[in-house]
Amino acid sequence: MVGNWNTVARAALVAVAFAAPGVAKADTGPAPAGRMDAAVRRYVEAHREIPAFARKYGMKCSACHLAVPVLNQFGQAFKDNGYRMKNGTDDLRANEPAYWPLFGWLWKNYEVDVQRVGGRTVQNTGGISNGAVVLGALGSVGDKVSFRFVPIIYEDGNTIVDHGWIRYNQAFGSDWFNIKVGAAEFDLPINPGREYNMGASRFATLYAYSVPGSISRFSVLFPQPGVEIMGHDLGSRNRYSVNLFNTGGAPRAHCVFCSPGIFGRVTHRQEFATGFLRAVRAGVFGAYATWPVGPDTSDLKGQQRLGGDVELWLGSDVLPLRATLMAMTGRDDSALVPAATQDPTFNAGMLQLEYVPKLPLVFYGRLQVIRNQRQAIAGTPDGFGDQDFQLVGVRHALELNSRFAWLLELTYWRWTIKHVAPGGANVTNHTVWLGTHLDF
Amino acid sequence: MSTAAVVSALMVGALALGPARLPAQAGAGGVAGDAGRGRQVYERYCVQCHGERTDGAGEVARWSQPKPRDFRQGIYKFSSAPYGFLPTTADLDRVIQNGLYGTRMPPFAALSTRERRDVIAYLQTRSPRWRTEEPGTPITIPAEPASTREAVTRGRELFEANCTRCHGDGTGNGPSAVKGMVDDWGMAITPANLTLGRGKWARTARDIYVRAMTGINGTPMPESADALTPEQVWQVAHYVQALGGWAGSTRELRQFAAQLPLPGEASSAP
Repeated sequence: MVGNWNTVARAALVAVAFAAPGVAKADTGPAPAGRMDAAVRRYVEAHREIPAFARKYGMKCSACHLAVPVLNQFGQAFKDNGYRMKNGTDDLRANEPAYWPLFGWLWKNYEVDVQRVGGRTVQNTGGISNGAVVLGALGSVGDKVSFRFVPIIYEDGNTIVDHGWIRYNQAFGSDWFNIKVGAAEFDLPINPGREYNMGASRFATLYAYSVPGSISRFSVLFPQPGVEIMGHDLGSRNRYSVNLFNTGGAPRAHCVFCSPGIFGRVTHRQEFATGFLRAVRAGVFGAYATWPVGPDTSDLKGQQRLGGDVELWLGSDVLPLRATLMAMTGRDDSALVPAATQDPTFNAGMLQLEYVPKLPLVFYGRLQVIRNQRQAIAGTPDGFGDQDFQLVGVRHALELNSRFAWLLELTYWRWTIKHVAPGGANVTNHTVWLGTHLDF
Repeated sequence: MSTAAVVSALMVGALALGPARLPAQAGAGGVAGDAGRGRQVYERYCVQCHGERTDGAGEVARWSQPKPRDFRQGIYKFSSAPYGFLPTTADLDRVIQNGLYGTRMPPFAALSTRERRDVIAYLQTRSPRWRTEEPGTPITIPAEPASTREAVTRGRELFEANCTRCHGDGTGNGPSAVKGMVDDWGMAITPANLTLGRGKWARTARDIYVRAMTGINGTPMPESADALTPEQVWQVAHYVQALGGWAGSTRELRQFAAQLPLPGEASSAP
């Protein structure tokens, strides 16, 4: 039984670590338990603010970002409009010929990670990581067309391409119908593109979770290739999105929808004219994805995710204390977990707090729990693979203008995965992360 | 659990670092916005163009044309009040919500009512005019008559008599424009191209009516309330509407207007 546990534990950690379908290949071997694959880590670092927009529209980064790179309501509306202001200046022809929708990111960070198993330190790593430069392109070409394509080049020579898409804006002349084709992120309160923390802690977010032992790499956190239809009202107070996708990374699912899935979310934002509570945004989402378990894609097994979130803006619209409560429940087909005897289910919740006392400074913290409600393999101990995650951080911009941003960030997080080590001990990682980032 | 305490302590500590609030101050015109909070809104969304001192000299102002507004002067181009008066809060709110088309001023429709109200209150602290003057009373707009071929024809004649000097055939190529025009800030300014179907501020025939009646503060665009009757201004508005794809224009009237002699064309013919 212990051997089974170890197998499941290893698979759980691998599943967590390889949740990025666009990067992790289907035939990639397992990573050492408790350590994430470098390529995966890189993927999630590749999203920041977009100085090209600031340059194009003459806006400061803080106009769209509550604190870089998290969007505020104005930035959300800008994104929902396909990176357009809708003010007659979106078309490339309305800009100086010298303008190109290009931007660059450059970053370096220092990280110390201590891994403890059963209360004993088993690994102590750290150092300055390889930096990278991103020369990406995104924005609106004309009123009707927006796009995104972001290649990332690392110091060690590796190059990956971030998700890319082309979007047809305002089909039928309506904001309620925009069509995006390509690998698109799902509309969720947290996603890799707009996280405060520049480190790899986001793999602990509930949206990235996979049940212990699952062979599926599907998660709602990472972009999935397919078609997105989304719409919104003026100011993006009411929004919806529907994604039809081919589950990214699914083995042998190389045709358009060989391993299909669907995601949908609706949100509503309510603002208040008086009082300490400035605004509330609530959203619900559901996802169903399939993953092949046989020699081809004829035998697909399903995974479902249901979730909700409530976001509170307190005290101020522009310098708020923002609290976001997220919850999600998931259920996977038992066939996705080798030797499973029943469909595994889990529940997860997260509370994120952010406070912006003044521009451009932000403090943030996060508490998260993930509980496996029903283990796939009968006899697996209760709590196996459960996760607790806590994070605190501060980010400050040394420069933040309409041409470039220079960011400094310090983060500490503790991530515990329960009962997965030999003997049923917990695996806990303590990480201190210090990074600097240049966007231009 | 200890980390939870750290998170809480960090948040509480951070709250103590909040900026000192300016005293709440109601702006002119009975606006109940909070100027202190409005300054925060301004610093987030407006400062890059309008400048830290609200003087229109933000870091991107040098690349902007037209130049960002200098709020210290209390001169606002677009108002529903007669020429020369301060705009109403609703006028300012409209510009904030809709932006000014084709300029660097984007639409801020995503901002909450409170944010817009607060930033207006802040702007109203930036010029002494708001302390000594009241906003103008919006002009009365009579019910819009039907836009007909007759109205468009008459509107063309009135346009030719009153507008062609600057707007030319509607594209902004009048003699004065060719010669060169400046606004009250000494900056070069060109008359609007009315054939584009949308102005910086105006979208509909009603908007064109307001602009024609009240003019544009700080620019050579005069008010026509003394020169034309409301009926005549509506006719001009319907002619302009038929020059391009303005909201509410019809293809039939656009085609009809296109068959009419261009303003200035008939009189200049040998």
